[in-house]
Amino acid sequence: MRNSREKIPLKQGIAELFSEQSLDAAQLRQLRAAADQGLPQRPDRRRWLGAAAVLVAGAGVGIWATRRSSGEQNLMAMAEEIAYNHLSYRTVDVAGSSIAELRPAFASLGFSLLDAPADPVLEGAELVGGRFCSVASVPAVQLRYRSADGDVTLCQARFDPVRHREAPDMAVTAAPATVHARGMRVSLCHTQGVFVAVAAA
Amino acid sequence: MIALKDADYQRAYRYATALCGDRDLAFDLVHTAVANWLQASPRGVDDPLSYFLRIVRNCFIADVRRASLLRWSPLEDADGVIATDLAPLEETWLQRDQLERIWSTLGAAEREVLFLWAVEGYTIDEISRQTGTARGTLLTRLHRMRKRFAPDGAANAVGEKS
Repeated sequence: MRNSREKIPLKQGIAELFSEQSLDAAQLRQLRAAADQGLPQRPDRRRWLGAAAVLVAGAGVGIWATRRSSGEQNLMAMAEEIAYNHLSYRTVDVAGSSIAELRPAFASLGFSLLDAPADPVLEGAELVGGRFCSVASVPAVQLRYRSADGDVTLCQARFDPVRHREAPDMAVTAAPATVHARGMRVSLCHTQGVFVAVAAA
Repeated sequence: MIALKDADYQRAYRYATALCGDRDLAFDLVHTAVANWLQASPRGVDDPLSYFLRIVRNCFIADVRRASLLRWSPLEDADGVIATDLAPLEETWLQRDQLERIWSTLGAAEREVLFLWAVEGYTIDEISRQTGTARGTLLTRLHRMRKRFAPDGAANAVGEKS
C-alpha cells in the first residue's frame, strides 16, 4: 500500500498512476490477432457507450479507480532477469571487497550504491566485486558475494516507478517481495530511490 | 508491413488511457488504431511507435468528434515569469491523494501532455511534435497548469478552502 499522504515528485506521482495500467493477456492476444489477420473488429457500440458514460460522469472519473494490477507479472519478469544474470555471471567489471570501495566506480549510473540490505543470505558473505547490467531495461549494478552456501547476487539500480513497478517500497511495507525463478530465490524492493534485489540459490 | 511489439501495445494503451480516462474506452481506441494502422500499411517509418501513437491520437479525436474534449480547462491567467522549459514541473512535489484529486479535474489535453512528460519521458519539443501544439503555447499552458499543483491552486481546483 502506498502512503497517500506522502509527498512525492509530480513526475513520480503521475508515473505511479499509470504504472499498473496495462493490457491483460487476453486483450494483447486480441490486438495481435487483429494485427496479424488484418481483420479488425471495431467494438463501436462499446466505445460510444463508454464515451457516453465518461461524458455523464464527467472528468471526475479517475483512471486510478479502475487500475488493475499487472505487478505480479512484472515482478516475475524482473526476478527471471536477475536470476538469469546471476546464473550467467562471468567476471566482475570492478573488483572490490566493500560497497564503499565500489561506489565511485558505479556512480556514473546516476545513483549511489546503498549498503547491503539485512538479508540472511548476505550474512557472512564476502563481496567480490560488481559488473554493469540492467534490470527491466534500467542500467544496474550486479554485485557478487561469495558465501559458504554459494554465490549471492545483489542488484541495485536507480528506481524507476514504471519499469520497476510493484517492487515494494521498504518505507511502507518494511519487507521485500520474494519470487522464485530459475531455481533461485529473488527478493525485490526499493528504498531511498534505489531498486534493490537479492538472488540466491 | 512493420509489426508492433507487445511493449508498443502497452505504451499505446497507457497513452490511450491518458486521453480517454477510461480503461475500456482506451482498449477500444487502441483496437481501432490497429485497424487504421493496417489500412495505412506504413513502410519505411523511422519510429513505428511514434507513428502508432499519432494514429491513436487521431482516432481519439475522430471517434469522439468533440473537439471540446481536447480543450484545455479554463485556468487563471498566468502571471509572473513563464518558464522556458519543464524544470518547474520537475520541482513540483505533492501528496498522492492531492494528485489524484487534481488529476480528476484535468481535461484530456492536459492529461495527455502530463502523461507524455511523466510516463513517456518526452521533452517539450517532442510533446510539441506529437500533439501539434506550438512549443510556446505548451509552455504557457504548463506554467498555468503548474499553479494547480501548488497547494493553493489545488484547493481552488477541487473547491476546498483551507
